[in-house]
Amino acid sequence: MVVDTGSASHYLPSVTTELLFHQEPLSQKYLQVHFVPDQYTAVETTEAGYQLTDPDIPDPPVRLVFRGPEVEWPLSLDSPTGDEYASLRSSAAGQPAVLGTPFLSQRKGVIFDFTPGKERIGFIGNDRILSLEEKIGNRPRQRFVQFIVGASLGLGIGIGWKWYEGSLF
Amino acid sequence: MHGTKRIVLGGRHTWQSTVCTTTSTYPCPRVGTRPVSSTPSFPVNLHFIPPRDILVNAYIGTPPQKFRLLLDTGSSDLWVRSETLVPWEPGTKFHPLRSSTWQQSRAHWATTYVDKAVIEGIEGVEKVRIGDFEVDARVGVAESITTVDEHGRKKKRGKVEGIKAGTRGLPPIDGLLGVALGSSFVDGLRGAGARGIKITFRVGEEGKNDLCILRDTDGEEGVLWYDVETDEREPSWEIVLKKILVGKTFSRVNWGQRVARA
Repeated sequence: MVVDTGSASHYLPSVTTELLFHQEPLSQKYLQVHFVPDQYTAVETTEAGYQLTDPDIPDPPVRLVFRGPEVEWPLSLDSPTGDEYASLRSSAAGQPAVLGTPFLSQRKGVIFDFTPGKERIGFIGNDRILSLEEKIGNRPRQRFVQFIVGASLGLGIGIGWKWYEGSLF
Repeated sequence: MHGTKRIVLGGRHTWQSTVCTTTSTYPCPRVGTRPVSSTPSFPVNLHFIPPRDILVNAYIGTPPQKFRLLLDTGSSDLWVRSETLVPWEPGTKFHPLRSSTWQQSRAHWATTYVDKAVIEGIEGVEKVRIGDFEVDARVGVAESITTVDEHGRKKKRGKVEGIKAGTRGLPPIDGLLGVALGSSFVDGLRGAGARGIKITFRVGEEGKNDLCILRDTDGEEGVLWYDVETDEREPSWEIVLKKILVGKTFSRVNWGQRVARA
């Protein structure tokens, strides 16, 4: 997926966008979905615009997970131009998937690292995203702590009950 | 790289989003940034106009001439308008013969955009300065901008159209700064010791949008990194989308980064 500051929309393969918009919950919210080959002509395939007939869409309706840190990045479907089309569209055949500026500008920032041999893109998340990632990252430790606390509590109650009954010692 | 790309130059879009126009301080005073001086020689003055337009200042030629350019990570060409471009439109233009460092490399240069707009002219190697960095980069000088309307009619333009910049009192642009991974400008930055470009957005918050050029990227904090996986013959800023979640369901992405041809 090309991270492109020259794009006001996001583009995914037609197959993927069709699946997304034909399945719940988006199929309940996006009606009369049609596809256009360019910005002027409507047909069945290639470049797509999705006519939004019900603006009450889930928030965030779509989250993206990239190869790397397992973070769900929310993707707004709001029209970048204020028209009836969603921001997510279908790529033409042979064209790459594109992640446009509206995604980047919802982050605190983005870094394009062109260090030779170590090229990478860094998203500077907002606090909610980073805390989510922290939670995911700390999940095994959290479960261990929960187990210890639960086991201690159970042991304490058991010992207390035995003591109360007088059967302890 | 002169392939088609996403930016729409002659489109019919009427942009309706609210406008956030802030300027930057440069260099960004953050971890990992090692500015050469506290006051940049050639201020970037990033200006973000939602939903897309990221405008930066670059200083081209000798003596340096200031141009406001649209920053574009999806293309490789850096180009500015020529003084000979018709129809005449106000704004900064470039005249190669008035620069002592201009070295023409191609008598005909062209690039095409996704809306079939064609930019043509000459190309040369020129000094480009941004912030505290000076690089030698290929610069296209646009002598012709041709757009195609919805009826297929071609029309000569004197400026970039179809973007929000330049409309409703917003600052116009004088050209494009393509910073794709394989671009001449990024190569030049590498040669000058730079290692990354950092853009900071503060839409709807206090503070200013920033762009700074980093000499070291490892020291940056609060960043989640994704490795670029791209075609080495045509390198671009590509990362791999693994899955898409909609509500409580998810779709695993198996199609790779490119779309299969129909």
